[in-house]
Amino acid sequence: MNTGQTLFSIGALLILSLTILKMNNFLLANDSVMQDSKLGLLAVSLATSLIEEASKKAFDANTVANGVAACSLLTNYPLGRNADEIKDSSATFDDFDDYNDFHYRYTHLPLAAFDVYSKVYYVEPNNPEEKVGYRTWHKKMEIIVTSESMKDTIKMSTIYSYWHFR
Amino acid sequence: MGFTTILDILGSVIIGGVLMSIAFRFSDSITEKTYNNSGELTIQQNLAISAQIIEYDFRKIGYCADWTLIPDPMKAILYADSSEIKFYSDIDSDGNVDSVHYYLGPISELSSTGNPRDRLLYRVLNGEQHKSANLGITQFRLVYFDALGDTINPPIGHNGGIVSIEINLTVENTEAYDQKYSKAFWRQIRMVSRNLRNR
Amino acid sequence: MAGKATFITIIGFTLLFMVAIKNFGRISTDSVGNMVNYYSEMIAHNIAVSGANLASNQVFIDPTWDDGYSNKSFSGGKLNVSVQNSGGYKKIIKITSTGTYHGASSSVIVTLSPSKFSKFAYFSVSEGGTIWWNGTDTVWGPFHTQDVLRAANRPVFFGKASSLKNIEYYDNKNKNKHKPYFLGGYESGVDLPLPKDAVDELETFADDDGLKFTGKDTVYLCFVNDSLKYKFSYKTPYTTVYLPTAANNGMIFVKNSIVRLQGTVKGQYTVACNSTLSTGSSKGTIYLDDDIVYNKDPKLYPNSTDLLGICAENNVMIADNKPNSKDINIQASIYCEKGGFSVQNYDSKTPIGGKVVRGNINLIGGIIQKTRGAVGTIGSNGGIATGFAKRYKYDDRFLIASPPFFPGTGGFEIVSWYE
Repeated sequence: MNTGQTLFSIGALLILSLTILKMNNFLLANDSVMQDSKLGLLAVSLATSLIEEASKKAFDANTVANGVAACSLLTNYPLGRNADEIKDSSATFDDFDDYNDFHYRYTHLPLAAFDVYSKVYYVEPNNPEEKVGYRTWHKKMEIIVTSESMKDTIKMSTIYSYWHFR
Repeated sequence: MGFTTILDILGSVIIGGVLMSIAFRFSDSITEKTYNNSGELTIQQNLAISAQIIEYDFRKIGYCADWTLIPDPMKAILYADSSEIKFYSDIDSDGNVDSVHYYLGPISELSSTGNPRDRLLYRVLNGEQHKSANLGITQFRLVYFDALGDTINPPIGHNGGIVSIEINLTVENTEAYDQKYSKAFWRQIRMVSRNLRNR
Repeated sequence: MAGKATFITIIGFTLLFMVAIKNFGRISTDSVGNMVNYYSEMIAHNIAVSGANLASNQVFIDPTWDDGYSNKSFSGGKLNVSVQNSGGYKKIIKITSTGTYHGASSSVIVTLSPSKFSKFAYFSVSEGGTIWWNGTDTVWGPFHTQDVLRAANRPVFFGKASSLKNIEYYDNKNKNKHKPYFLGGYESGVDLPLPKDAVDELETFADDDGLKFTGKDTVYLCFVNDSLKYKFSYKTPYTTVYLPTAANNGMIFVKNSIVRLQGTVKGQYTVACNSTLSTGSSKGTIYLDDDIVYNKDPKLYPNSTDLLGICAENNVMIADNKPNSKDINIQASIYCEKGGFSVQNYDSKTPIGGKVVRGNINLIGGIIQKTRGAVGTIGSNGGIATGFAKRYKYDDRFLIASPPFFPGTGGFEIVSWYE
């Protein structure tokens, strides 16, 4: 084999190595994106589930067994669970702001483990994005869902207000 | 010419062979990846569309544009089981009460697919001819909760006190490369239609 | 030669791989698009629900609020809420909340209608201290108490149940044994007070095309289908009036008196009786002297249009007399603003009617009262010792209809929620 042929062979080897390396990188990145998308679907449903679960609770600890006619009668900051409610055990919660500083880790789902965090604070209806430092008829919940298996962080929020129509 | 030449030829054959085998092996891997990724995309799309349809319907349990036709929405759920539910609603919001029936078909219906676990999820509207599409659904499991948050054991008849439902949905490929089925899972704990809090 | 061939082969494979990469790129982009699309839909939905919550609170506080919200930023998207009051006598409020997020849009429509007390199968302000709902009790329609809901041995509530205060279990250490069956759902913290003068206000409707009795101590009323017989003392004969003419709007009001009521009702009427004394008066009480039923029993004729409201400022009582010494049939929604529904001499061993255990109260309708009244006593064997046993059934028609001018709660109820 002459030098030219050898050079061709070496060139082929080089191209093949580079191609395979690049392809592998791309395939791995692709796998990661597909995995993130799949886990993202589940993460969104977990965030929505937390919203639904919290929305079944009373608006405030003081409205569980009472009507409240003024904001001053609602729970003041810091919001969170009462002493008789167990940390991160939503089955023991009885009102919406018990989910403030809440964290739950799903370890038993088929695809991956997820961590769900939530924060609750008061907002005004005219500016529902901003936290206010006083009591109002509206509470906003911010939820974050993360997983070690997922690069993305899913964020969701909702507003829950005090009303009952009977 | 001579021994060196033979060595050259031998060497180039070996190297060429190795290169070829690498290339062919990689090509095989690409084929598998292409197949799997297409399948993965399909199951994700199937999962998303199934979830959206189920959420669209379940949010309307007990709803009717003419509310006097379903005056007591808690009676809208006619029958509920672990993989089946039938309820009244007004899906198209035209003021007429519709009945919606979700149920899983038997595994034997899809014996022609490679996946031994996939089943048809039927959505029957107003008792019409059932329609289904093979979306690779392998699990459609419903868990029911009452007003106090306790689970209600199915089967549950009419007026069973269902206040919320946990919906578990798993979708897999109908066919897979080398029997390696990919799966996607979705869970929703729904407040089963806010209409069930009315009246 | 071999090197060139290898080179060409490798180039060929590389080109093939590039096509595959393009495909993979499209697939992964589509999967991200799929996830983002689903995420956007959920965010838009959350924004819409949040808007519905914000507006519902405003309407709850002020039913005349209709400002709405326009293009509020929330959660990275936009929130729009409009409120329509249908006006007229129906006063339907419709809240429409729309959330938009990156091209996805979702709507929530909440429809509210004025709420009437007649829709309740059972309503009380006070449960009378230590009366328990027990395993033999079934409430077939909507239930509400402003008191604690005391539950023993799993009473059954078929309609939606609500209470202002919490549930009290007969044995707190064994709650599962006493948890009620809430087949229609349950909500606590709901404040729904009884009005203080809704019965007095009914006089205005009687003055305007209704029938009113004044200046009498006792008024005896006997419905005979679409006629009404009345008299003012036990021994005098009845005078008969044709109701569609005499009480065209369905309101029959007896001012500052005692009413003794019975008969068969054809049509839709409300009988109301008030007292001009604020407390301590026997007036404003309606006695049921015998059965008071519809011409067409709604259980047999679901399309029956007969409806009756019995509204007393004080009490509605089943009279202790001979006709009531057996089962009594009552088909009406009963409203007791300051008192309760009970049985005269319910615990007497020597009742006027002659029978100690009188029978069943077969009620089809509802009871709305300030204080839960007693209708009988239970013996040591668990059976009725004196008075009546309860056989209360709900009239489902009260979910969508009410007797004329029946007292409203002053608020609204959600009749439909679209999302």
